[in-house]
Amino acid sequence: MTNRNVHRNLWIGFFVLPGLFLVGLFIILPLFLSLVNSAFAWEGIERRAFVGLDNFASIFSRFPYQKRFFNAVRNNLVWFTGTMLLQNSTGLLFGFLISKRIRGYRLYKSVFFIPVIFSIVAVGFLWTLYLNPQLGIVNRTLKEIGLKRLALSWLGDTRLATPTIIAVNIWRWLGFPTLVFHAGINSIPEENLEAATLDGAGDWTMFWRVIFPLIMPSITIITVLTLIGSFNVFEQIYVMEGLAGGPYYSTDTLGTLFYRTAFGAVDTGIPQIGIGSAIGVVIYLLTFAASGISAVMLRRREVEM
Amino acid sequence: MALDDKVPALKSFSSVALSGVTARKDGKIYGVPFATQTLVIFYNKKVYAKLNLKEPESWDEFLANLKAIKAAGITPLANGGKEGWALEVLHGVVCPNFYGASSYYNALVKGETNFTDERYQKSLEKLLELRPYMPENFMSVSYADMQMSFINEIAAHFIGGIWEAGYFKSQNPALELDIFPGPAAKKGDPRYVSSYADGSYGVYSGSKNIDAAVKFINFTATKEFGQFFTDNLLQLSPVPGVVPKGEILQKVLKLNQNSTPYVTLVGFRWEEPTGSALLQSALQGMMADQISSKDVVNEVQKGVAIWYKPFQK
Repeated sequence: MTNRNVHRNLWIGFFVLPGLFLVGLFIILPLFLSLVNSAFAWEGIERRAFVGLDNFASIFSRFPYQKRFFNAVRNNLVWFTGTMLLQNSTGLLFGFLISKRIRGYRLYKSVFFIPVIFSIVAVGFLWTLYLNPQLGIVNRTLKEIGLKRLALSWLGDTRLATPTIIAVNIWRWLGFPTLVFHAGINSIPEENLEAATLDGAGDWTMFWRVIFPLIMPSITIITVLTLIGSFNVFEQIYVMEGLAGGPYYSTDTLGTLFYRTAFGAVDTGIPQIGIGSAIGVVIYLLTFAASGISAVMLRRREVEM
Repeated sequence: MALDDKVPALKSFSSVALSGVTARKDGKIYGVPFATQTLVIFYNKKVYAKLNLKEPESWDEFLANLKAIKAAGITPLANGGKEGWALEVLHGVVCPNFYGASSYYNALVKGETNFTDERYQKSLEKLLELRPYMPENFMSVSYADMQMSFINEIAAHFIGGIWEAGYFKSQNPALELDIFPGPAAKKGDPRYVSSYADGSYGVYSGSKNIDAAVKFINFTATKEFGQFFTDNLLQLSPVPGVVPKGEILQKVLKLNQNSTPYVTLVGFRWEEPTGSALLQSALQGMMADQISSKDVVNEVQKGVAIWYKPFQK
């Protein structure tokens, strides 16, 4: 290696090292420790005997862990589907419209992005107040405009609770895919779009045959982030429904299940670090596999100009 | 650190208070309890006066009161179902008089019966009878909403713990409240109230100041401390001889003569899955018409039997 190469590599190492150190300390190390913890039995916060894969066996085959685990996974899949179908497709549409510079596009850009920078806890807390069945503005407005039949028990109905929290989350997050897709569309060279227009392409054709294939990298990013986010979702449910994923586990996800199992629900639960860590490891493996597979699949569809 | 020999005053504490500080492993006492809680029904005296209602002496009279209040356009009951633990408290007030209070509890903890006992299952169904009197969309009503509606005199009753008394009064001094115990089925039958030890002070055995710590902990078991505690925090002190000021707390002392352990908290909240956590979510399912009372008791029994040896026959 030439002197210059060594010199350059040292500089690269120097810049990468702090980030690598932090990632190692706060992400990789705890992950490894969770794996270790999941292989032991625990009594409170004291480690006991080595049990190998027994904690995982509990999650997949014993009551109540099995019931809660598969219920949580089902809810996580609802989160992923809902978010992909509603948030990301709407974000794509909005990104497209903003790129076309429709009237007021500058205003829309800021307005959609503002909730993204709000604290998730503040968003959850405030929306819980808005959705209060008697006093919240949502139901009161519905009643005022004569839609009393729609003034439902948003966070109290087992069928509505998860969709409601997803809706609040979409309200908050929509600006992010909008911006990513907008940036992706903007990075398509003007000539390509002009050429397509000259060839007689209307909006629909333009979007699906020209723009969509060229923004595949953005779609990959958004899909993978949504996957990871859907498997990890925790704060929104914790703030709006509590740790138990109520009512009757209808909003319970892997995030709340993991936290509740590992640390014990306040007042009414006792920490089970072994099984909790096992859930954590399973969440990691699921997320890793799902995002890995989708990244590979989507990468293949990326088109180079 | 075990306090049996270090705090002689503990010998005169009630058994309810001591049951919360005695370790199951070695039967020794590890804390000086500082408060006990009792579960009761709060009511708004002004509403009762306006509608000429009297404190109910049976379950049916209680429902009749609720009905009259609803007819007058006032929310009869503040309670809701968004938070499972509030439903557990509701069951702690209503159910003991229907499942046989301490005679059931004692048989339960010994394993002579279990949660699927028909008495316990039927007692849970009493909660369903309260639903028409809860706020509209009660499953969305959280604990803070419940407190707020009783404090602001929107709802006429609040079923909960005696710890609320001081808080309610501080938030709305104009609120005129009183309490009565959960009603029994028949007029004249004894009316049991669920109670439990709420918290305690302990000494860390590895402390570098053991003598000073023990001296302080003995102080927390004195009448002087108990009186100070109850006067300032408006909570019941388990120190014998402490007389709480104020009618409400004194009334609770009298009600405690018929106290029964708050079943899931006292007996089944010390290993996972806790009876409390199982009951809380299952009651939500029942109140939301997703599952039956039989499903609730089966779920609690199945979960607790995993670790509770007397159930593992």
